[in-house]
Amino acid sequence: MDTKQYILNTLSDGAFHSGARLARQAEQSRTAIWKQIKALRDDTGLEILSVPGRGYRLRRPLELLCAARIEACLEASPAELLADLEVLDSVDSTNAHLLRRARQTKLPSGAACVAEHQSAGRGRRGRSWVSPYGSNIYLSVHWRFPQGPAALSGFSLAAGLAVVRGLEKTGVSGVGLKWPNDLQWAGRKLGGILIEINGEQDGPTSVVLGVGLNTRLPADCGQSIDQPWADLRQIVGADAEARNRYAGGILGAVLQACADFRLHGFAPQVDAWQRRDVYYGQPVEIHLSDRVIRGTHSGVAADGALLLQTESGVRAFHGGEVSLRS
Amino acid sequence: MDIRKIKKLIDLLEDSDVAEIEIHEGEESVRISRTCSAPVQVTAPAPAAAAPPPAIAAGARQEPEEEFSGHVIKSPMVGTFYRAPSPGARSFVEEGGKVASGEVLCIIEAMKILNQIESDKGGTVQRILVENGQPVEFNQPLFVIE
Repeated sequence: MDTKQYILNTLSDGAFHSGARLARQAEQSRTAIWKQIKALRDDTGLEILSVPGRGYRLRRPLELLCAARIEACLEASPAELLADLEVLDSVDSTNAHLLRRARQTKLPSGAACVAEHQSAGRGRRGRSWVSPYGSNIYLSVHWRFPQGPAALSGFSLAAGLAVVRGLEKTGVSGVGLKWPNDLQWAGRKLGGILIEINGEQDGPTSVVLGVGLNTRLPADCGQSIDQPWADLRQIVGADAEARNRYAGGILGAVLQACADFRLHGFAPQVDAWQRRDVYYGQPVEIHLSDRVIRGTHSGVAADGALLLQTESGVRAFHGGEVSLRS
Repeated sequence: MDIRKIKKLIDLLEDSDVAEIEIHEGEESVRISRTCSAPVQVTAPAPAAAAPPPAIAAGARQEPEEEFSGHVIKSPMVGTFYRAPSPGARSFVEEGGKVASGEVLCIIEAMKILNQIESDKGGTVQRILVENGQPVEFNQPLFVIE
């Protein structure tokens, strides 16, 4: 462990730690410690207070991500599905990281990673995903499916359902889904999923599933998000700090969903999905590239398509943006 | 019944002198006829999916298959075709440009699943057959590589 990581680990408890003591324990000079504190502030944006005579402390305690603690939260069955879990301090994006690994080696199903910070967190179609240090969960999982890409359409919905189930198991209730897989709470966006795949027409397909979940979004970061957002702190209060527990819950549910989808597809999950669908039965419109279709949201199909009751009957959609009709 | 299978049956019928075929598979059956005005009839057991029939009717369109001289890259899934990684970014490839085997040609997106389509052959991009942002069908030709 390098000095910077050592200091961060020590300060994560939120208590005061004197520069002299940090220097002694890290076997560094006090000036070296001071330089590392400055680098930590610059790199992570974390608020590190410095009080003469008392030392340094983090304004708020921070539970750093830890592979052993995340793995300890996995139930027996998903624990067997996990191939390896990397905890990264900073990465461009967890999806990009696993896609690179998949290109370089024959990456096994169940390879996963989490990161404290993403320098180029991604959303759909090049949109950025706000990814401050230590404030959220950024998690990706790799899985190889024998099927071709065409058979995977329902996986998008299965993935969203898995994250909601993972949260429910860790005591976070009331999280809903907006087609195809936005995670919503009280009408605001709590998290998102981005799936990137690579495969031949007849399979196999290499899939990287990325989850971005807001746990405690700093106010200044929140201002840069162009839609209403929520974070776990608003739902569970101070418990939101237990990021390893939530990461473990989500990871376990996602691994299980991958294994289940491979065998059974999305069809057995349709009812469970619809129960968490925030727009079910409501008047909605679907924005396609060249037109808008209005109707009543009447559920999802086994291939993940959105079903819309229109004047001309039920129609299935595989693309477009759905929104509530005002 | 799988739409791809029905499409194959239609192709089969078109290449033959047969006027009508009917296939039974479990509880499902499909009858494809060359002459009548409703070319495809699908009968499925009670509730099944209400949506598929229009899609199948669309699959029955008699599109003359264009012949391409080079190597054709086809879409592995239904989705939206994007030529660039993000709006405003430079396209992955242009007509006349060189590509190496394994190079990304485009992205097909369906329901937030992004599929980077790589060229399985090196060469020159002779034609790009789809406009940016347009929907594509399964197996639809996207690029011709020479």
